[in-house]
This record gives sequence, structure tokens and C-alpha cells, in this order.
Amino acid sequence: MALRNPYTVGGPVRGTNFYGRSALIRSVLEGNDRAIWLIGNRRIGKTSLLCRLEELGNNADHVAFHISLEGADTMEDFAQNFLDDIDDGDTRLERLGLTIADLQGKWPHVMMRLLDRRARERGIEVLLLFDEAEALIHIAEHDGDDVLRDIRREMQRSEALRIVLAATKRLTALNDRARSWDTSPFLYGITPRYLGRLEAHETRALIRQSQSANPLQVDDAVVEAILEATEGHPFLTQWLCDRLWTEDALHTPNDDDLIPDSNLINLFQLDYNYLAPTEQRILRCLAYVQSLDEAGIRDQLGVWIAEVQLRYLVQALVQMCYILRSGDRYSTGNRLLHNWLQFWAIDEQQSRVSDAAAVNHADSEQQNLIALRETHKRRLQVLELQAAQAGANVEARIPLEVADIKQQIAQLDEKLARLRTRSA
Amino acid sequence: MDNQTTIQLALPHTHTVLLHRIAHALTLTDDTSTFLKKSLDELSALLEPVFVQVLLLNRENDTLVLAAAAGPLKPLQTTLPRILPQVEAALLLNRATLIENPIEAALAAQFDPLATTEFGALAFMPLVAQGKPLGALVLGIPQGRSLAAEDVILVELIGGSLSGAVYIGRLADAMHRRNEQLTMVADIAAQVSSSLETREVYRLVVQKLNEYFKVAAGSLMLRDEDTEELVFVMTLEGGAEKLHGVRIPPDTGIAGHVAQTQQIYIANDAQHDPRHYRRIDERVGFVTERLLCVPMVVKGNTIGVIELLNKLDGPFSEEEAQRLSAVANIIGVAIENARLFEFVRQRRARLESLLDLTIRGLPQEKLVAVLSRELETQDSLLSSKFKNPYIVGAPVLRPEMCFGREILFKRILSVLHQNSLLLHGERRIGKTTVLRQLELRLNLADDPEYRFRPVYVDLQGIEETAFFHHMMEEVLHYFGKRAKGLELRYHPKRTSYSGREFQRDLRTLITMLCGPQPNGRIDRLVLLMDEADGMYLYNERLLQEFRRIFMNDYAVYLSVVFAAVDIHRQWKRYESPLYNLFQQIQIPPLSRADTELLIRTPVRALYEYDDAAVELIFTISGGRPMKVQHLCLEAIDHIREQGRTRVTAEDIERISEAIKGQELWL
Repeated sequence: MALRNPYTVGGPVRGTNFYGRSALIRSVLEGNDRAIWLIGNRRIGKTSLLCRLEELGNNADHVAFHISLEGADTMEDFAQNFLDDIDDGDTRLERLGLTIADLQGKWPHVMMRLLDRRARERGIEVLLLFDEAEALIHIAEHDGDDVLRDIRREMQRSEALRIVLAATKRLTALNDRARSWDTSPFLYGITPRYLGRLEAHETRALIRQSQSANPLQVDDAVVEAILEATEGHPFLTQWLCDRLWTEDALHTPNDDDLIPDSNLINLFQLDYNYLAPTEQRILRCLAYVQSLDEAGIRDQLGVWIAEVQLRYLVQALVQMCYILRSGDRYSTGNRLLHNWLQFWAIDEQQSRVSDAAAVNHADSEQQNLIALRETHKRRLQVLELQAAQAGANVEARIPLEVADIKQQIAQLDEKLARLRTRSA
Repeated sequence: MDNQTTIQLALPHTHTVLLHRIAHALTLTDDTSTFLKKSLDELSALLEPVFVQVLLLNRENDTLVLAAAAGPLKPLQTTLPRILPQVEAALLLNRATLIENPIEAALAAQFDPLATTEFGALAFMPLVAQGKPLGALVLGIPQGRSLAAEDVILVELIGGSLSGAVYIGRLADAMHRRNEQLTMVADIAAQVSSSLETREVYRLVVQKLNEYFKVAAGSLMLRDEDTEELVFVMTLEGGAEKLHGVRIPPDTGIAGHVAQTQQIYIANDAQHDPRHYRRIDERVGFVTERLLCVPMVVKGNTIGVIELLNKLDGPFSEEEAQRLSAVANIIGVAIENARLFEFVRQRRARLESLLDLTIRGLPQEKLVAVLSRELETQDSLLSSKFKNPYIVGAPVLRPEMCFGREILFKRILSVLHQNSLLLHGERRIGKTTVLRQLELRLNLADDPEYRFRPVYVDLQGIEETAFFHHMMEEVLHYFGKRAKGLELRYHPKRTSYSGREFQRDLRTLITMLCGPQPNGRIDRLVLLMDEADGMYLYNERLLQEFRRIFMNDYAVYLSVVFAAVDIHRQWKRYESPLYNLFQQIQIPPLSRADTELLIRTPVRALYEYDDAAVELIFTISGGRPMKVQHLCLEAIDHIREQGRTRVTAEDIERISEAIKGQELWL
């Protein structure tokens, strides 16, 4: 019997079909950040990663729930989506001493609080993996911004929850909604993690299906040619392998194989539409050259842009796999995208994202500072509570640590103020 | 009351006079209702009860229904459930019963509460014929009075007369209906034997049935033995012929169900009947409200079905279904005979044309060659009852008639174990055929790792409110008895069934029936969703709910294969669009070589095509299978009419001119 085509192009991957991302997985499961936004373009593997995190996250120390918010328009839908994904025989709630009935009829932030309390009591952590988090935009549009504040508050105050939101850049729309808040915008304090390309060795493993019971024998030359064409983009790698699959083996890609099909053309265009005009221009510049450095890009852009802004945008495009950095030079992210940019890309009359929003979003330094500040503030609250409970008998280390943290928060505030002035 | 003692009593004169009058009336009456009423009036005048009523058992034998009444009160308005203990005992034991203080019995609830104060007892007299209860004669005895023994005897004797009248009346009705039925059958038989032209037979049959059963439309469908589809051979609505040649896939709709089960089917609320196949209604702009369908069975085989639509004077009854069923089989035999006659007629015409050639002095060697080929053809036709094998306007269900898709199937089967697919291609490129063939191949696949469970779902005409319900209906239909006993939210008669309920039910189904099996294989559900373009009109939120299924862990044992003309690119929601979940595969036209196979193979050994004809067919059709088959179908019919066995390029040119304006070609 002929070998099956082992590559997955239609649907998320699970189990041993999942390759790479080990550092990211470790950081989500064990790192200091307790609220993470996994940012990635379409088909980069966000759902697959969440499936993998759910598989790995159900262990002695953790209980993990993968909750797709897809189709949710209201908080009620949000809550129901969570309950829908738990069936009657599910032991995860049992580990927390809960039943479905305990969660039914509750708002999501109340559910989160309950999960947090029960997890703390049992000395374990709950991993909430929210897929298609863009649905929060529908929810806020329908139910108002207060619901976002409720959720954000639970994310900030919880001690035993790890929360992962998986979404494209469109999720930044939540920050726009939160401009009038007297507190920080919704996504501030949630650490952004870009879902980019796989490492070269991970891509080779994917091509060779080395985790399978029957790994493929693929010539090194073929593997390297595929890697060179896709630069480790997991979906494009599988897409190309599927295209190259003939009679139980992979053939070497030729120029025709690197012409995008209608599926890919549409996929690229969909994400391209959500780039800011200057980001689109940067890609256009790189589509017709081998590579450029930052100065070269500025020259080719045709519009003036501040050096620091350009750096932010280029950095974000690198993280999103649109462009590739080699030393101080940049090129398009992969051959398929390069071909698409040359022949199929269509610039919309009006881009859906402004340059200012893109720069602001791309400012990961700023966001990291905010996340760090939130962590310090949480620790500060715990220490102040301990000090209040101990009264006069407070241990000497606590006031010292409180003073230290306050100083660090002040320094962070100063840095943030400087950065905001610069962006403006 | 004791029957043994009452027999010995002598009756008063008034009683015997009344009995005599009633017996006389019985000999004269031709109307049971009038007789019952008259008898009760007489009895009421003599015994002066507060009421006297005749109640007759309904068809189901579970309720007594008021048939006639007399007396000043009419306390029992319409019906009396047989299940009441006193009633059941009296009927079962066939014994007259006196119920004292009826207002304290369960019986009281059945009577008008105002009237119950007027009578102190009830006399309940079963009406029996041929040992079977027909109903009861019930008397309300006024407060403070009782029935004398001779009154009881009188009531019993009158009860006997009433039973006789009811029994005879029913017998007469049955005979009358039987007579009508026989007349209809004789009428149809006479019409059938007056014409052996099949089409004429079909028309006469449907016309007669429409008249007899008083319906708005009637259809005769015959089963294609090869494809098992039902083919509309005659539909008359208001005298106009419709739907000729339209095919219904096997086991589809009520007609398909009837053909398969050989059981009659009544749907007096067809629009809400889950089996109703709306595509046909939509095609002719007809709204089926009531439907009666019966099989035509000849020698144990279903040869077709008869369907009557929208009875003009009310719902179809079980009795009408039985009547139609009785004539359907007779009609079936007549149709089979007519078909045989048509076959013989065609052969005779062919032989006559050969005889002409002989007379005209064809050289002997050519005549021998022609005759040899003709004999060969005759043998072949007689053994196979030749039917034009090309299929137009319907999916190809027989694998041997599906050409040029091997690479496509190989590709699909190679990835289906962990992918969902979107098959797209232009209209009439054969998407349904591909899905149907895929269903067949998946069912037959001998795979050491997977057992595929393909469920074909036709989405044409399915509104978004019915989307999830329709899908679950098809899934459950596939699993049949295996799904029985599962706790599901789905119910066939539920009008609302949400995406969430569908997800829950699908999780239950897949968890219980799919996934790793004891034999080491993995059972994988494959939804084959045809005409998926219709989904593009649905609300995006519904599609998002559908997409969400694939995020669930049980989706590891689920694949979907969509078939659509186009890929829907518009998406307004913030979340990921439905279409980006699937691997997209285009269904291309056939290659030149595959087109030639499709042209020549179905009629191999019977008919031939000139090379130029094949080339022209490929040029005209562009390798589109439906167009190829349409040209071939017409070409073979054309040369058969002319007694030829070879298709030329000229034939194709002529046919192409004739059919290029038809709907299928636009």
C-alpha cells in the first residue's frame, strides 16, 4: 500500500504531528509571564500550538483548558463556549473540586475567579488557552467595555491562572476601545509573544516527519531546498511538502512549485490587508531586491518615516515572518511570499490599520515594560497584605522588599513615559 | 343483569310492537345513520330515559364515538375512551352493565356535569357482531327510577338490531369501496391494454389516478436498475406533463424510502416531514402539502413508485393508501408488459430494415457481415436489455462509469486521514459524482489503519435554520441502529436545533462510535458536504460555530469534504474565516485520454465512434464530463433510431447544434 501523505494542510495538527516551538511552550507553561498574547498571522499554527499546550498542560501541576471563542458575540456565549468544551466525563474540573454545575450561569470573570481560588487551594495552576480571541472584539461591541475590564481585572489579580490569548494583530482593536479607560488598555500587561518561523532543525524534522513511527527518507538537498523556500514557516512548509508529494516521496521544488495557488494567494492577501500602509510599502520595496539595510529601505519607501518608527515596524515584520533579517540586511520572509508580492499583491485603497497603531503595537519594548510593572504591582499587593496581617510583628525583609519594588515601579514609569513621548 | 333470567320473561305488547316496527324499518333502510336515529327516538318515546345514545368504536378500537342520540339531554358530547374500566369490562365481556351512581365513577368526567344530576344510573349495552364489539347503546335512567326486567330485554333486543344495522352498513360501505376500486382497476387495465406505447400508458395511468383520488398532481417513477435512482416518467399537474426524466438519487426523499422499504407512506404535513425532498418542489414551483406514496412491486422487486400530491378534499387516509397500494401492483405488471412490448417493437423494426437491405440486393458477404453484427447486437441487447448508459443531469453512482478521476481520488485518499478538504470546480464539472464516488470508495476502503465512515450531506435548499438539524439527521441515518441509545439532543421533529446542540451531539457520537476500535483501526467520520455554496448565504456566526467544531479534541476523528463551485472570500467577522481551515483541491476537466475512455467504454462491443467524432466531442465539451455524456447520450439515441451502430463527426455536429441552447450547456 502506498504511503499516506503525512502533511497537514487542512486543519490544526495534534500530537506527534506537532513540531517545534519547544522554547515557547516551556516559557508558557513555566515562565514568569502569567498572561500571554500569542500573536501570529493566519495559518501560522496558533490553534495547533494551543492544542499542544493543552496536551502538555494537563499534568500533575496543571489543569489546561483549550477554549475556542469562535462565534461568541456576547459574554453569555463566551461562558457557554467554555462549558461546551467540557463534557460530562471530563476529570479536569474534578481535579479542582468543581462540577459543571458550579460554573453554569456564571460570567466568565466569575468563572475565572472560582478556578483561580480552587487551583490555589489545591496548589496547582490552571492554564486557560483562549483561541480565536478576536471574538472579544465582538463581545465588547455587543456588551460594552466593562466586560473587558472585568476579564482584565481577573487576569491581573489571579495567582494560580495562566492565561493565553491566541489571535492575529486584529486584537489590538481592544486597545482602541480602551482609550477612555482610567486604567491601562486591555492588552497592556499581557505579554506579547510572536509566533514566527520554526527553527531550522525543527523545520527539517517536520519535513522528514521524524516524530512519526515511519520517518521519511528525504535527501538533504530536497530538505534544504524546501527550507530555503519557506524559511521555516510551518504552514508553508507543509503546503509545499504536500505539493511536492508524489508516489510516496518528496521531489525537489522547482520554480513552478513555488507559484502560490489560489488558497495561498488569498491567505497572503488577507493578512496583508491588515498591515499598515508603511508596512505594506516595506514589503513592496523588498519584493524587487535581494536584500536591503534599514537605510536602503528608508530610501526606497517614498515617504518619510522616523528612524525609530521604521525600526519598530521592521522588527514587527520580522517577528511576523514577513521579512527575514540577516546581519543588518533584510529580505522577504520566504520565496512563496516573495513571488506573491511580485505578482498578486493588491493594495487596498485604504488600509485597515494606521501607521501609528502599527508602531504602537510594534513597540514590544514598551509592552514588556508594562508587563514587568504589572508583575511588580502584584507582588507589592501580596507583600502589603502580609505586612498588614503581621502588624507590629512584621518580618524585617518585607518593608525592605516593598521599598525596593516601589523604586523599581517608579523607574519603569519613568521609562514608559519616555517611550510614549518618543512614539508620539 | 342476567341474560339467562331475562329470556324467560314475556314482553308487554308495547315492547313487541316497537320491536316489530324496528325490525321492519331495518328491512327497508339503506342509510344506517337514519335507522339508528329513528330507533333511538322510538326507544326514547317508550322508556323515557333522560338520554339514549349509540356509540361506535373508532378505527383504532380505543374510543367510542357518538353516532346517534335521542332524549331530552345529550350529556355525552362526542367520545368516550374505551380505557375506562366499566366500559372496557362491558365490551370485553359482551355483557349489559348497569352503572349506578355514575357521577361517582371515573365515567362521570366524560359527561356534561350539569346533566349528571339528571340521571341516577347508566345502562351500558354492548353492540356486537360476529363476536366483535362494534360499540354500545347507552341509556341514562332518571333519578329515582329503575329499568324493569322487560325493559332490559327490550333494550338488549333493540341493541341486537342496531348491531345488525351497523354491521350491514359497514359491509355495504366496504363493498361499495371495493366495487369502486375494481372499477378503477378495470378502467386502468382497459386503458393500458388499449395502448402499448409506454409513454401513453404512463400518462393514462397517472391521469386516472389523479381523477380517482382527487389530487392536484400525481407522479409515476420507475427505478433505474443500474443506478437504483428513481426516474420521473410521468407527472401530471392540472393536465400538464412535468419533470420528465428527472432523477432522484437512491434512498432519497419519501419516494426513495418507499422504493427501498416497499412500505406505503403518508405525509399529511409534507413540509415538516424530514424525509420530504424539497428539490423537486423547487424545480417545478410546487408546494407539496400532503403526499401519499406507494411502491410498485413485481415479482418481489420494486419497479417504481406512485406518488399522489395534495388531495383536494382533505388529508390522505390509511384506507386510501391501501387502495392505491392494491392498484399499484397491478399497474406495475401492466407497465412491465408495456416495456417488454416496446423492446420487441424496436427489435422488429430493426429486423424489417435488414430485410429491406436483403430485398435491395446487398452483396452476400456484406449481408452476412451486417447480419452477424446484428445478431451479436441482438444477443447483447437481449441479455442486457440495453439502456443508453450515459448519465446526464445526475451524479454517476457506478464506479465503472466514472472516468478520469483516479489521480484526484488518490490525492484525496492520501490526505483525508488528517485533513479537511474543499473541492471546488465549475458548475457541472462532476463535484457530486466525485463526492458520491468518494463515499463509495471510503465505504469499501480496506485500510489497515483507518475505517472511514462517510456521510453524504446534500446542502442544496437547506436553510440555515435547518443546517445543523439536517446534518445530524444524515449522520444518524448513516449510523442507524448503532446510534440508538445514545443520549442526544437531536429529535427528528424538533424545529430548532442549535450549533451548540449539534456540537454536543457530534461529540457524543464521535466519542462513542469513532476513534480507536478494538480491532486496532481508527474509525473516522467523514462528512461529505455537497452544494456547499449554499452555506455562503448563511450568517457568518453560524459558519463560525461550525468551524469551532474542528478546534475540539474529538475533531481528531473527523474530516469534512466540501464540494462547492467557488471559494467564499468574503468574511466580515474578526475570527478566522471558515474556508481557511481546509485544504483546497480543484476538480479539473477530464484529459483528452480520459474523455475518450468516457466516450467509448460504456458502449464498447455495441456501438463505435469515429476518431473524428471523439475529437469533436472533446473539443466541444472541453473535457467536461456532463457535456461529454450529453453528446454521447444523444448520439447513441440518434444512431439507434437510424439503425446504425457507428457515431460520426457529422452526428456530433448535428447534435451539438440541437442541444447547445439547452440549460445544461449554458
